[in-house]
Amino acid sequence: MNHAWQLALKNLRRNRRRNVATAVSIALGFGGLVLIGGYAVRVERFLRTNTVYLQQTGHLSIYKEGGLERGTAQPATYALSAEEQQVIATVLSARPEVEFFGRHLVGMGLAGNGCTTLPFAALGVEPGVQARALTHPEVLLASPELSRPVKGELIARYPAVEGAVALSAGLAELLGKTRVHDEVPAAAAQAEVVLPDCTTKEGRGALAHDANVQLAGLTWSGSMSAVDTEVVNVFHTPLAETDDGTVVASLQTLQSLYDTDAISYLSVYLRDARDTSRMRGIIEDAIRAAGVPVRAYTFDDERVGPYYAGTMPFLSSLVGFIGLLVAAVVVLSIVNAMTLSILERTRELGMLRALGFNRRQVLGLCLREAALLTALAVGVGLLIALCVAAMVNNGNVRFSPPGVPGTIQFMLTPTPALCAALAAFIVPLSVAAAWLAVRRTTRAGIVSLLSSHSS
Amino acid sequence: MSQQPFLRLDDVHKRYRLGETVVHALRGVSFDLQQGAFTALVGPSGSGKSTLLNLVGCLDEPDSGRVLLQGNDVSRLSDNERSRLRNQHIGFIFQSFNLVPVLDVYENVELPLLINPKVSAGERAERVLQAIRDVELEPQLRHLPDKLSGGQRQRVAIARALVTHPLLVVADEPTANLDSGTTHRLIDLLLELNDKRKVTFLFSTHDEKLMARVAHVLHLKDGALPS
Repeated sequence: MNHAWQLALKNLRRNRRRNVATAVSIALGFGGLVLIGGYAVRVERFLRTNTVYLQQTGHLSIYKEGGLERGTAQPATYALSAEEQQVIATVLSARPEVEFFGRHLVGMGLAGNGCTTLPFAALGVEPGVQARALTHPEVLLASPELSRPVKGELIARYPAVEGAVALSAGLAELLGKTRVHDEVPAAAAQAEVVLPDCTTKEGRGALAHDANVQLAGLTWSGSMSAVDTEVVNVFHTPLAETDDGTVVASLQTLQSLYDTDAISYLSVYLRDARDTSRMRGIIEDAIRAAGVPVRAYTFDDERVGPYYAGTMPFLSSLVGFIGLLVAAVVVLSIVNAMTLSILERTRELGMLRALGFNRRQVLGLCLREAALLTALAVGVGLLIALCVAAMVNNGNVRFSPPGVPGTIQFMLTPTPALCAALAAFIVPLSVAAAWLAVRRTTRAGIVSLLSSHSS
Repeated sequence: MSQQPFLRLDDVHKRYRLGETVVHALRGVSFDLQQGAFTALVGPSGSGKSTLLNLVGCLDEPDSGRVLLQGNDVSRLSDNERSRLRNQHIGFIFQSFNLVPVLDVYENVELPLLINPKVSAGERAERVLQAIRDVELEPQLRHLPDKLSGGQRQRVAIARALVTHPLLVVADEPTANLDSGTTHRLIDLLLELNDKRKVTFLFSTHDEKLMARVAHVLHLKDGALPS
């Protein structure tokens, strides 16, 4: 009923000062919610991107049944064989929801520079898949700092370099490998490797003259094995605690080190992250139906993405608590404004009832007023929030989040979905608050309304 | 067989509780009104005039007795049915005008028609303009109530009461807040509308000038109509 909305809009002209004050408090509350929500969205995206793309768990990680729990201790038993990989690849390729997928091998060993050996945890990647993951639009949006190597280029850029590897920044520093392949003069790279004199400062300084690192480990059959590798880039890991002990190598290099053609898991990247839970079951069932006993894990499973899984509930609780406080302010503002407004107009409501408006229509008028006032305030609050977010984002404020090496940009990401969801929360909430304020008055008898001393 | 009266009150009682005290506002009131009657309800303050008008206007329900409008007992109607009855068949004129301050003259008069689904938008506009013409307020069509004099506001209230083409208009002290010149003109207007439209008017008043021009007067005393 358009007339009812027009009448409600005109009624908002009464007592403008009070309505403006109410609208301002709602606008600020809503703007605050949008900004807090924008921060939560930013943090969630950052954590999700780090887990899914940078740690390369994918939205789904597919392990052989028991592989996640026991694969490290018994890799040969719980790895996926070449034939099984082929079956899984066929299933995944048939799913339109899957954007791409990659094979991974994880292992441990010792990295040496001729003077020192240090333990490492290695992740074997398909260089093309790794490049695709690290340059994914979501990564460039949410976590560009950590997707770019500190030095050098991604492994995929060096197809001609045998044993190309990437070292985490802490490990590279401990090994004295301050230069990557591109920084080493061609003559030095081709020169015969000479063992440095590790007892002298000059000898240890010579470690930086090349980018050569030896990786040693136990093959899955229990023999010692080693490979010569060339450091093509140095990078920060998404988590500070792994920054001084991580090696990323091509799958081929690690398979050579561990003398296997098997892999530890496959990472599956979905076109839409919202499909993750649904697709977990679908893909797991499809692969099992194809004869490979696997288990699929989502990135928010604490066994796969403990940092994501541990942080999000805390963040959600915090944001939820602040949201409740703001919602309480909005409710009180509306209840206050509507109570005063109704008190001033009791006789007028009686007149409307006398003219034939039924209780529902009178109540509807009051609720429309609250809805309009809130909608206007939400519009203003949204505008304020978007301006603040734009200013903050353009200001390139940087900070060091706990557990993350280096700094990242402090950003607020109030997405359209977030703003719409918050508006869909606040407007009905304020209408409900208005209902609380006016329902008693609209239930009163007409004579009692008309005999009120209000204007 | 006698003709059925337009309005019949049959042994109507109404009590109010004021704290510990029960006030008998109406004590067995009975009367008939024929269609087109122009009737004044007079009596001292506290005699029950407003209570009686509230019952006739379906704003309230009697404790006992019946209020029959065209033979139908209105106290048997549901709240929504009474709302519809008021909207489509009963007009109200209040002592203090009760106009909506944020609506102009046109919009105030239009108000009761907005909730009548039987009236189309075109017919609504026609009726509103006619009602405003009838009370000679065309030049003030877009004026807000606070730009009008007391007499003009009461004419807006009259137009609003008549725009629905009611069978019955109930008015509570319609001239109480008006000066004598305005009262005179207003009485002329009400009589003219009564004569032209055959609308039944029932109004309470203390105004001698108004009483002098009314053929039918009901005298209420202590909640009853002495025979």
